[in-house]
Amino acid sequence: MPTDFITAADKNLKAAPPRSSMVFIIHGDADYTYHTPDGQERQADRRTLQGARNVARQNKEAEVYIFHQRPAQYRFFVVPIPDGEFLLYRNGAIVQRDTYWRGDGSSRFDAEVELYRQFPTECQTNPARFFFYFGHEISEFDGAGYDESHPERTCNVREFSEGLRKFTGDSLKFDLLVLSTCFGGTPYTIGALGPYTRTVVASPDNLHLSYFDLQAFARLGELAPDNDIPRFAASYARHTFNRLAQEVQTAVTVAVYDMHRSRDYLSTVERLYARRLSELQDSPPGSVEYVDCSEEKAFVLPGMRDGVTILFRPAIFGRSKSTRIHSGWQCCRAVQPPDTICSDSSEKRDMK
Amino acid sequence: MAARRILGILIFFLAFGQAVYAGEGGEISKYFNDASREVKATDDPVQKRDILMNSLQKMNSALEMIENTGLAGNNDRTAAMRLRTTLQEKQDELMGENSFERVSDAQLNAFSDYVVQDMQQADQYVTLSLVTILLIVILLVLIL
Repeated sequence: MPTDFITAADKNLKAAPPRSSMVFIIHGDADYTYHTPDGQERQADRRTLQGARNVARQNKEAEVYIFHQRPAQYRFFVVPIPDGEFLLYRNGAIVQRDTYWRGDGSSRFDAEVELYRQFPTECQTNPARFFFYFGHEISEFDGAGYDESHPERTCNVREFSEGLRKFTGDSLKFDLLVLSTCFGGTPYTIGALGPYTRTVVASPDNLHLSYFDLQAFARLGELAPDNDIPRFAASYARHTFNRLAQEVQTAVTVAVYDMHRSRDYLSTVERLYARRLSELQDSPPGSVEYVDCSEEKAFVLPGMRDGVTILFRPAIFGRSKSTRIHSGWQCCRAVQPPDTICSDSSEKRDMK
Repeated sequence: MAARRILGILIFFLAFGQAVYAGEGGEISKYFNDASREVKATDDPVQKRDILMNSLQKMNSALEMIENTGLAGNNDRTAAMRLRTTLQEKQDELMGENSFERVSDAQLNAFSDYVVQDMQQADQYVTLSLVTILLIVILLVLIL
C-alpha cells in the first residue's frame, strides 16, 4: 500500500494522542438512492462517505477508519476495479488512502478487519470507541442477495456480529454502535450485538434512505468533552430524530439501547424470538413483515422498556398515522391480512 | 404491434440485464418522484390530485397486468399484490374513501413526498425481480 500520506500526519499524531477511535463501514452496493423533497436524486452512500470524511477532518483528537464498500465495476467493461475504498484519518489528517478487494470468500468483513489490524489503533489511553454501519436491512434470516457484487455471499445478523467480534478482539467493547439500517431494533439483532457494544443507536422500523446523519459527530469534542457516551448518544438520537421528522413523511423511529439495562428483557424473549425466526425461516419473500413487538402479546413483558429510549413519530399519512407510541422493539411475523393489522393497531393504542 | 415492441425491449434488457441492473432498482420510486415534481409544479389542487391519482392508478394497472400475464413468477406476483394493496390505500386516502380521511388540498405536496418515500422503503422489502421491474417500466412507458 502507498504510504505517502503517513509522514505529514505522524507529526500530528505525536502532538496529540487520539481520544476517540471510530470505524465506519458504508455499504454502497445496489445503487442506493433516494430523493429529497425538492425532487433531487441523492446517492446515499456517497453522501454518507462525505459525512464520515467530514467527521474525520473535524475531530482533531480522533482516529477514523472508513471502509466504503462499492459495487463491482469494470474499466472498459473488462478490467475489474477494486470494490473497496479505505481511508484512515488521525488527528484530522488523512494518513492512509487506498482501494482494496473485498474478496470472494464467504466471510463478510474479513478484508476490512485485516486492514484495521494492519494499521492498529494509535490511542495511548483508553479512547471512546465508535462503530458505524450504513446499509440495507441486515437480515435475520439467510441474508442472501444483500450484496450484488458477491451474490454467493450472505449478510445476516450472525455474520455482522461475528465481524464486530473480530474488530473488538476478545477484551474490548465499542462504546457506541450506530446501526443505520432498516429494522435494526429487533430483539435478535440487538441481542446479537450486545456482547460487543455498550450502547446502540438504531431504527427499529424502516429508516428512510437518507440515513442517520453524522453532523453531531463532527462536533464530538464539543458535545462530549468528558466522553460521556450515553449522554451523547441520547442527544445524537434526538438530533437525528428531529432532522428526519422534518424531512420525512413516513414513520420515524430512532432508539437508543443501553445494552446492560436491556439484557434482562432480551434474555427473556430470546428463545421465543428464536422460535419465531425458525418458523419463518423458509417463508417465501414478501410473506414476512415487521411490527412493533408490543402488537405481539407474547413479547409484551415486564422490563420491555428498560434500557430503551425511543423517539417515535408516526407516518403523516396512511393507516398508522394515529399510532402514538412505539415500544422500541420490532418483531417479525407472517404477513397479516389488512383487517387484522388495523385491529392490532387499535388494540395497541387501547393497551397503552 | 405493441406486443412486438415489448418483446423486443424485453429481449434487449434480458441480454444486457447485468449492465442495466444498477440503474433499475429505484425505477418505481423514480416514477413517483417524477409525479411528485409535477404535483409541486402546479398550484391548482385539482390538478395536483389528478396527477397523483393518475400516477397511482397507472402503477396499479401495470402491477395488475404483471400479475395476470403469467410472465412473473410466484414471488413476484406476491410482491406485486402487496405493492398494489399499498397503492390502493394511497388512492383511497387521496380521495377519502374506505374509511380514510381525505387528504386536504394543503397537504397534497406533502402527500406526494409520502408516496415517494414509502415507495423508496418498499424497494427494500418488496423484492421484485429485474425482469418484472423492467416489464413494469415498459408497461408504464408504452401502454398505459
